Amino acid sequence: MNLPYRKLTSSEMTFLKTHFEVLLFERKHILLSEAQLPLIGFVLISGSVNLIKKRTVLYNLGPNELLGVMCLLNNEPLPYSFEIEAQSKILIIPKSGISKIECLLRSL
Amino acid sequence: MKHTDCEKCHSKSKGIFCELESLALKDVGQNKVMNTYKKGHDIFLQGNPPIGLYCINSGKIKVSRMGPDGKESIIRLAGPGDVLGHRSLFGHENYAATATTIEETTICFIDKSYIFNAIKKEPSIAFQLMQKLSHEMGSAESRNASMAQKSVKERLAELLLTLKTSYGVSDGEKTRLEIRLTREEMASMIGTTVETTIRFMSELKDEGMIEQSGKVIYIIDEKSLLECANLNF
Repeated sequence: MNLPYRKLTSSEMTFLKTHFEVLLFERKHILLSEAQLPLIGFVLISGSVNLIKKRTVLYNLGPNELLGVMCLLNNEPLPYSFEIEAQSKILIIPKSGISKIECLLRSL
Repeated sequence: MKHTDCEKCHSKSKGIFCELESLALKDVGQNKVMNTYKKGHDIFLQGNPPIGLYCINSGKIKVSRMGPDGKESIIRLAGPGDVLGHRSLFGHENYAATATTIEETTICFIDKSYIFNAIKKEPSIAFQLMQKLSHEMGSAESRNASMAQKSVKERLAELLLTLKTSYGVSDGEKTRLEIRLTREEMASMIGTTVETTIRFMSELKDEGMIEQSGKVIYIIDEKSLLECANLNF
């Protein structure tokens, strides 16, 4: 499946980790909901996150994929839900921190 | 998607940003994310880390905790003007409870780094949060004492009066409670079984203190209910 985002390089990941927090989610949870404005953008560091459309799991995300930021930046509702499976490390990109990654977003 | 201007928000006076000047409020508005969720949506889950603050614009949310036996206990209800997630956020702890909408609810989310920076620039936000935390602590202590010292019927009467304060709407000589809770939810809030809750609800009805029409509860005789709740003690 072609996601509209690409995998980040290791230098991009290092850049993100210096600016943003990595959190450990223990429990299964819908992090971002389809048809809602994203609360944050994120990158999966380790663990498992499913991309869901109309309650169907379409894709299991791999590490270093940047997600949700374009909708966050453009204030648009998400076309998918992202569900965290148990025990996942997620790098959180808040709306207030989006300006820090403008150069990265331009290259996407 | 509809974007509500924070200055025109009908919950502004009850919220934590009520003392902000227009410019500061505009900045909050630009950095918040507002969504409307259907009934039954989990806003955050017990055990997960906090990512920001949730301000309730409209609707109702139950905050509940799962016990080791898998039973859910509602620890509080939240409505317009209330904030959620602040205890975990400022305590640097994972969420101690789960927040779930009990009707269609609109929530403004403000991310962690923004709120921490905003508090440094605008100390009034911190004062408002402290005020909310103080009220919540007081309510929690009251509930704790009630659980230990009061009978089930007294606790039920007290719950109905608490619901009246937050969700009561005058309907002639009665007060209608604008909140629909299941018997399980009411039972969990007063620390008893569903059967006992139903039994005492029937007693209160028979004694003329409350009335029910379908799922709607009306308070008929508040004075007797107050005596029953032993709130003067």
